[in-house]
Amino acid sequence: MLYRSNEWDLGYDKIGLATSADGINWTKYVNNPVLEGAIVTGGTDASIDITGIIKVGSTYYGYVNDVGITPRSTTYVTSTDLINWTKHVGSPMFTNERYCASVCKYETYYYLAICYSPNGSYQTGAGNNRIEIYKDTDPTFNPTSRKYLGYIITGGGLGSWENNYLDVPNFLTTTIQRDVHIDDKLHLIYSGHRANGKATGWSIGHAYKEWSFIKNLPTLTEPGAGE
Amino acid sequence: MIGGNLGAAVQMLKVMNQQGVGNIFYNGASGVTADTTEVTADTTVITADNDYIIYYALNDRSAIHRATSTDLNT
Repeated sequence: MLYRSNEWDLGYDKIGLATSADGINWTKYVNNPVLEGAIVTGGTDASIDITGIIKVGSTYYGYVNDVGITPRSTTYVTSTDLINWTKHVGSPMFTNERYCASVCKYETYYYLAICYSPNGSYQTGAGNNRIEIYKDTDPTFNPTSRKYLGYIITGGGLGSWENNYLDVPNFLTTTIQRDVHIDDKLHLIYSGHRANGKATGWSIGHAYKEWSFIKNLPTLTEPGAGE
Repeated sequence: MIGGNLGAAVQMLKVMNQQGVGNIFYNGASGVTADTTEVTADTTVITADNDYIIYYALNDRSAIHRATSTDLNT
C-alpha cells in the first residue's frame, strides 16, 4: 500500500509504503517516505498524493498530483520496487485542475480516469465536476498521443450526494496489471461531496459500463483552460 | 463557463446513471452508513478472493480503515 501522510513533516503530505500479508496487519517501510517534494510542478516542496498505480512488465507506474496548489496538475512516476521512484521529467501530463488519476488496461489500450474541475474546486453543478476518460497505447498518456473520450461521470444535481465535488476515481480490477475486469465491464469506485442538505460531506459511489461501449467511444477535443 | 463538449458527456452520464450509480458509503443520513464521521475522498478498492475491499480514511485523516463487501453495495 502506498499512502499519503504528513507523519514525517507536518507541513507537507508525502507518500509512504506499507506491506501486509493479510490486508489487515500492516508494516510501514522503515525508510519512509518513498515519495516527496515538488514532483508535479517544480519548486522546492509541495504536498503530493498518489492515486493510481499499474504494473507494466516489471515497472510500476504511479500517478501523482499536487495538493494545495491551484490549479492542480498530474504527472507520473515509475519504479521497479515501489521504493525507489523515478520522476517524469517535463511538464505535467494533465493540468488545469485535473487530479487523482487512475489507470487500467483493456485489450491493447490503457485507460485513464481523472477528475476535472474546469471552474475550480467546490463549484456546485454537474458540469463543474467531472471524471474524464482518456485512452492511449502507452501508460504515460503523453498529450501528443492520448485520445480524449469525454467525461463518464459528472456531479449530480442539487441535493444529490455528489453535487459539489468528485474525487479519487478507482478502476476496479483484479490484478496489479489492471487488465482483468469484473463481468467485462468498466467498474469505477469514486468519491463525491455533497454541498447542502441534511447530510453534507463525503460519500463513495460505484458506476459501471460495458467495455464494448467504452472501447468504441469516438475521440473528442480535450477541453482546455478557459473552457 | 461550460463549453461545447457538454452534449456528448451528458449523454454518457445518462447511460451510466441508468445502469447503476449510487452511493455505497454514506455519512449517516441515508444509504449504507460507513461511520458516524464522514469518509474522506481518499479511497482505494481492490479485490481478493470473492470479496471487494475498500480502504478509506475518515475526515480526521488519522487512520486508514478497511471495509469488505461481496457485491459492492452492502
